[in-house]
Amino acid sequence: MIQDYHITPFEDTTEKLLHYIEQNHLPAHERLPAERTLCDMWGCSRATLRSAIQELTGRGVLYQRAGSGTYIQEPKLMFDLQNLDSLSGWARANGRTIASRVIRQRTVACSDRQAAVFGVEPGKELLELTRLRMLDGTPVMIETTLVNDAYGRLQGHDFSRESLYEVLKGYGAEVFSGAEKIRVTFAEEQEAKLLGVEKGTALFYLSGTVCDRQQRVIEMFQTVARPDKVRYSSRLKRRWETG
Amino acid sequence: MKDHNVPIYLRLREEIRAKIEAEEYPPGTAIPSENALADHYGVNRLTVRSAIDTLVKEGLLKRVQGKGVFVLGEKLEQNLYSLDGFSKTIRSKNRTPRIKVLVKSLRPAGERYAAIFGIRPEDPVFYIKRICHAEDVPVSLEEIFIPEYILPWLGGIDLAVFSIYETYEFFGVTLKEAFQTLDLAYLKKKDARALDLDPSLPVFLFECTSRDEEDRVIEYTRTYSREDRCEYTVRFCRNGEENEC
Repeated sequence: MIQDYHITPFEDTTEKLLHYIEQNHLPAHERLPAERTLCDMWGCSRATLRSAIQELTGRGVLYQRAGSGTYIQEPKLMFDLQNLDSLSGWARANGRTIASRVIRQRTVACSDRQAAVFGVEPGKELLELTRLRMLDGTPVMIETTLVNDAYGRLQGHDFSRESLYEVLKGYGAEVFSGAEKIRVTFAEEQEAKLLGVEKGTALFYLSGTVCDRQQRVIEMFQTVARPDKVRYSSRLKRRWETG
Repeated sequence: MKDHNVPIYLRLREEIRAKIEAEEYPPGTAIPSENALADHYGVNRLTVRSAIDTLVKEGLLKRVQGKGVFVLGEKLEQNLYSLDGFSKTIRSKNRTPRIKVLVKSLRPAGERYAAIFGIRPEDPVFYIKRICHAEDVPVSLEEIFIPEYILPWLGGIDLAVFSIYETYEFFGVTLKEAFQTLDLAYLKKKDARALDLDPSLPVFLFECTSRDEEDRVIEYTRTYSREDRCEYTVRFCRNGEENEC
């Protein structure tokens, strides 16, 4: 059964506005044309256009400055979930800069639970590293990682400059694959301060493990990321049943 | 050297989460009282309450008036690398999918969807809006766009009985792959109500573009899933070498 369904003026205008921005490749911080111009172009009312602008502001496509108009928001950082190297590659390809600030770097003793994951004795030393990642100077995510410091040498490195994976590779621990879970959490006070958001703001919460080619766990991590600055992507394939 | 001077502050949420995951706090049982946790970790009660509030919003804990804070069961886990569709995913967990179709209609593509599907703006597309339940629990709201030329007979298919993926198979459309982005969003009040969700809570928003073996874009879907009931898994590889993952 097919229902009669009419697109509301709001839905229609939202689609047109989004299409206009996408089709014209409007760059970040470009100002939208005057409301009247857009209303004339699409034959919609001011009120409808404003709700569409509101909707796209909520989706992080536009931002508004009081008394000055509506602008195109910077594109979010697109993070390919299936590729460990995606962050630096994405930044290079899009002319953006990613910088890291080390919030905490210390040695911790492995708990029973962590020992089971890493396959080591409880109490063994692990490197715990918390880094704040910044996109063009704006804080976007906090990454906390626990690394099996097999050679006891990691503490001497400056991870605001060096890539953790490159350093590990130098010690013969080459990251190869991993698995993670994606959930939502809400910023606690300290996270809020570091990320420059309000306490209680919804954040992406990713946690998982990274292994070497022999499936030994090298790293356990958890990341919180700002959803207004970061978007994740993945490719899905059809799984064929065999037999 | 074990550092005991960690700001427990930030870590309390993670300590409680870890105990839930390790089933030191098993599903269905109450966690220790706020006072007991505050004493144990040497923090004030407000800090404990804040951590618990967060885990309640995450759907890991539930406050029961006058009885305490209880651990909820597992969330619905879905993966982000295989194209299974909602119904198949739910059945694979031995639960029954239930689909409630809110809107099933034909509309002109309009400029935006014309560009996505490579058709003309006046060409018709199906627009389907539906709520997906696992058993009786609403978990996601989907808005599905499919050009009419891909599935001309879709109008006659009861989507409460057959999944969209089954429908593709009926009509010889072979879904090959999809590209998906994930954001957080907030639903409008009416849509939140349909999901039995507090509209101040965010939802996962997936935007998914699917292609068939002839490389035609056959479907564009927005899925809004309840963050307190769903979690997603993904496997990844160096340089995205997917075959070896």
